Amino acid sequence: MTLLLPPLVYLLFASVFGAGAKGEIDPSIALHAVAPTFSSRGIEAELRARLGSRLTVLSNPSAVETAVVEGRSDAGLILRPGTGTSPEVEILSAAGREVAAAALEGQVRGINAGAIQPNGDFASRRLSVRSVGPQGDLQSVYYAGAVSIMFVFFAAMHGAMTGLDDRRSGLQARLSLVAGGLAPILAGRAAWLVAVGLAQSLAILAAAASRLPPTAAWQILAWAVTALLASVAAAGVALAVISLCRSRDQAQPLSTFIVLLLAAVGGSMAPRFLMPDLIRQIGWFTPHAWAIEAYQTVLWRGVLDVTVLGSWCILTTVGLVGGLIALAVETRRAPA
Amino acid sequence: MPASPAKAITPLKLADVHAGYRGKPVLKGLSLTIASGEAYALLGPNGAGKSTAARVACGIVRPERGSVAVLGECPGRGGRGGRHVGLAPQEVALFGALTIRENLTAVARLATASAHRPSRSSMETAVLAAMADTDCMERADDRVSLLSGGWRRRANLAAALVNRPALLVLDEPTEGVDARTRATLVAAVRNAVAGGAACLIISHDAAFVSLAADRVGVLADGRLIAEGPIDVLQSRTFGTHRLLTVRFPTRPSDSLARRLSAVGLERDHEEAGESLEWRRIGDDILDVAETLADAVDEGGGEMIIRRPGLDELLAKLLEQRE
Repeated sequence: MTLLLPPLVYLLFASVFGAGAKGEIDPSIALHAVAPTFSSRGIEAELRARLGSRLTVLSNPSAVETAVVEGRSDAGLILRPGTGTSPEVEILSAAGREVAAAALEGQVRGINAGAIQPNGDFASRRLSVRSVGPQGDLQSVYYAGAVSIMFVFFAAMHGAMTGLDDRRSGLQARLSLVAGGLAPILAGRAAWLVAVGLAQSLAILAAAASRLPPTAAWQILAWAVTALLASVAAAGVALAVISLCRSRDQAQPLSTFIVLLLAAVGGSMAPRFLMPDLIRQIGWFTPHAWAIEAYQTVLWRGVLDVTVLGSWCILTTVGLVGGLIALAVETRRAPA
Repeated sequence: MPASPAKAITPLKLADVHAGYRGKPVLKGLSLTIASGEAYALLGPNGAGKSTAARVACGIVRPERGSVAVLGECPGRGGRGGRHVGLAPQEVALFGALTIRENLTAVARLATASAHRPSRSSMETAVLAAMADTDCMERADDRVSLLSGGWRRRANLAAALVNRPALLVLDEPTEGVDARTRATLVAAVRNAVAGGAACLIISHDAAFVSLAADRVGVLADGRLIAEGPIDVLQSRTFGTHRLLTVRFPTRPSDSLARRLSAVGLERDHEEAGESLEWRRIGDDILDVAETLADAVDEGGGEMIIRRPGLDELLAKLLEQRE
């Protein structure tokens, strides 16, 4: 593990962050052509060829704006009939994702006008960028959630390792006999991990408070629910991982690797839209991505919608499944 | 007061138990029964299966064959028998950051949380009683992590006693303790047994077992090779034989060593390659001692004659089996 994990982490980080650092990002784009023309269809076809499934064609301009504001697309593109043969191009940019709008602008400028219409040239195409959604210091909001979920996982893994000591010393056996099973013991341990996670999240929120946009009481409550369920997910994953380990020597490198892996892929270290598309899709398998999404939706976008509720369900499910795995493994484990 | 129905059932019954780890058999048909008010010690060499037997009794290890019942109930997964067990594992199984009192309170609270909500006073009474039994009151409010080995052992036993279990399972309860603490632990075990508890002791401490156990079982290679009260086993194995021990503070002369060997004494104890102790078990020990008395006295040594103890009993039984 000592020799295997560091190279794995290197390869992972190089893959996750390398492309973003070079500006080679794979933004998802929402597109609407107000009055399709030969030229606009050409732009759409060209973008389709370049972006593939990351291009979503929507039915009206407001749908494009909503998709960008809600984060379903990284940037928007609205094509309107121009004065000449070239359409007017409007790029929609959300706070914190300006780099995605810039990448889209580069894509649009790079499209060979000649391939679209025989006499077309780019100069005739009017291009503007419009900011949509709430404006301000999104990064502070983003990293309040991103960093908190990462540290909640670190703390949960570290805390769950006490289970190894309890198992080795016989304390777990003693308590499970007294309690009539392992479930109450693991539930108690999970409750402690959740409490620690919640306290950590609260500390980060307090540190970020001055940078956050004006926040209503319901947003604080929804944030607290998100923090609670993120801690539940972390506790479940940590208990499951530690239950699979036989010693601290096994658990320490493995848990560190898992925490770093989840944090990198889930967007705790850098926003996921900067990552290659494949990694972005894999990111949805991490609780981090869902927790960050919920935090952002609640605090930045100021809505309590299906995205948040879905994130809550997923975080809860991760926690419960992790707990059940831990219970099954610990119950079946023969003492060494 | 009439006995409750639960008390009428045998606290621990293992019948033809086969158990092991990852396909490696450890117990090979172990059967034993411990009655209420009885302390039973399992003896045997390392790897004989003593700790595995304790784990099976607690339901921590599920037997591959055979049956285990604690007060007639399965102690393992899905069974309720484990609730009747007070376990003192080989390592000190306590929360280091909590005091002895807090540890015992936690164990007492956990035991009754799912059954019925005890009154605060009854729980405190149970905790105080367990601490009194193990003479822990003096350090009751000290954190376990700050205690010496002997105090931790007392607390470890107190945590097993606090719920007044029908079956006590003690795995090496005296590891690293001094004579005074050993006496305290013996008294605590005897007190629990006098109160009707059954007790399974796993120990290499012959002094502790001799004082605490009513019966012993000798385990070898996963099988019980002898069982009974210590006196009975000693009489059956050694009859009227006595053990002669000749001990020297420094290495005796070669001629004296040869003379000891000539009358059948065997070197027993070596320190830095030098034999300082010779031993022999036999029915002619008094005669042998008489012939050696002057020479041993001149060599600065001493002679001790006594009944063979548990260590000798165990060694003899294992030797006979081989």
